[in-house]
Amino acid sequence: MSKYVIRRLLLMIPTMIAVIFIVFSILSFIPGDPGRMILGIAAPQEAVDMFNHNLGLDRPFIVRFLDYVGGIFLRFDFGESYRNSIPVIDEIMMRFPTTFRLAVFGVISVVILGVPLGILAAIRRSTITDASITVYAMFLTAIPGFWFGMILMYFFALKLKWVPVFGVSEWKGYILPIITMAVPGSSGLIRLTRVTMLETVNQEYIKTARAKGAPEAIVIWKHALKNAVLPIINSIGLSFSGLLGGTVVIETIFSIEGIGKYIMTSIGARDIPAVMACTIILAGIFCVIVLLIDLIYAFIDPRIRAKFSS
Amino acid sequence: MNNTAKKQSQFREFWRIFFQNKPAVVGLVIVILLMLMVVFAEQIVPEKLAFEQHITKAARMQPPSKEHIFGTDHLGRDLFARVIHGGRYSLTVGFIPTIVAMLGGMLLGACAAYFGGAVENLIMRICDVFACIPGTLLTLSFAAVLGAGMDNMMVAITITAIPGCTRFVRSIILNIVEQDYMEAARMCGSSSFRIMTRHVLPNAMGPLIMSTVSSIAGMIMMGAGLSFLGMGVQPPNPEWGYMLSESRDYMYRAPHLFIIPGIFIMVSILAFNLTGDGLRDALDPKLRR
Repeated sequence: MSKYVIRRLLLMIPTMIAVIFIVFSILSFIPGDPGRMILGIAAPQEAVDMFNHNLGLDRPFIVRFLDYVGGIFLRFDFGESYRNSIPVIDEIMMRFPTTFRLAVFGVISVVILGVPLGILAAIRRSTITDASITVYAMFLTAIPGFWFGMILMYFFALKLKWVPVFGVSEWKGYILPIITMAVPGSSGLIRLTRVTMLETVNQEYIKTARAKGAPEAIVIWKHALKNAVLPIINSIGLSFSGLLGGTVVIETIFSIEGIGKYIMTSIGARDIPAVMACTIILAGIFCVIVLLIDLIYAFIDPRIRAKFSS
Repeated sequence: MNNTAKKQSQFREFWRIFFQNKPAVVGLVIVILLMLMVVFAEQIVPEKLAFEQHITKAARMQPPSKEHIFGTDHLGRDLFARVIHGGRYSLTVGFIPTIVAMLGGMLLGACAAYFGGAVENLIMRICDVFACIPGTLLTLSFAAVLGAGMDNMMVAITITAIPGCTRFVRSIILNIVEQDYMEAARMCGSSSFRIMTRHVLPNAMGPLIMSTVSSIAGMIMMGAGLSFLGMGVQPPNPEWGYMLSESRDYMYRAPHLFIIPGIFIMVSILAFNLTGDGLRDALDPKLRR
């Protein structure tokens, strides 16, 4: 077991280097000269060259890449912002708690809104309850998150004035962004929980449990859900990918000063180190979550545990 | 002769099952209506109305009325004309990246499955790494490099989608290669080319078409989202996502400005999803309830 954990942990390093390589290459091919872009068209050529030289932008691609990776792994240094020469990691760390809160509460809400409805639909299969839940999930899949956010904002912030329109200076400010993330995001989990539960309920051991006279509640909760839980956990982990990307849109709508908003303003200002750092950090968080899911898998599924204990 | 007759009946059986599925039929009808709307946009309402500004207090942000059935926007432009012509942009962003990404995925996925070994390893590892980066962020990175604009946005969405398509195509092909009829074909001495074109491709076509239809919905959503963030279709062109973004400053005074384009986005996505689900159910009898 510990061998498996160590192997997975070590595998994270090449994966992260590859992720950094992809993001770095994409954003290095940005057309135009960073010095020229920051200093403006009127700046003399010497000043532009000086600027590029100071940032080391006149070195070959591979040298810059190795320097960048080295900085991240050795000093946790993601370079300096083109705009104000402050290390971008400082700015990100300042904004990180907000985005992290959004994502974590978002995932918790997705689970609360998704799993029970999926189970309910599966145990009430082919009834009006099942049909309504399926239709509800179908509509949720089709609702764009940013539109849903605007509707919520219109009714609860502008009309009813229950919550502030912008920002998260008070806790109430988090309510609408989290609902905006969680409600459309839960549709996938509802559908997946329903399908997985239906598959499990058709298994032989469920028939056995029923045949030996176990009460229906025990059959569902103890036998069926326990076996359906692995794909559900997997899906929750993957939904983090959507949530982390979704923070960009959510933070833009609700004017929340988190990492997502920072990415958007940095793209607008062509502040490449900032865009790069945010993307790499969010991708890194996602990789860690995928790793945790795999470890949870190995921990709770005896079949996987057995494979690695020998 | 016998063979074609059987093929025909399979095809008919497929549509028979599809048409029994009422939500799927509704979805397909809406998809067809949307396409007609895009093709005959000019006949429904002239395009120049979508750009004609009337910046007077009386003409701006009118609620829906007889002359302007969807009302007017913050520059006094007719919202109905903008929504109808905006469909061209939104649906194009749904179709073109999906098809190009699918073709790219087919090429790479087929290469991986066919060559195996180091080639497969290389292609699949690269796809795995791409899967670590949340899709929205990857698309935004490409959009940041390429700059804002409809064409650039479509390129960004396409590149982001290719790794997922590659994994999907490869899994389908590997699934087919394991079937008994492939063994039979190989035993008969069929060439690899014949196996690819006569056995693998026809059997892969069904799942591929189904997945293409479903992913059009996702692409429409992605395109609208990027335009909403200002990375996609540029003003003054009407696009549903960008129209939502424009309406944000006038939400309180003119809620119809964000409600109507949003409904169009939602209905399009819903229609493509329903059609895709219907195709999947008709194609795979095992999933049928």
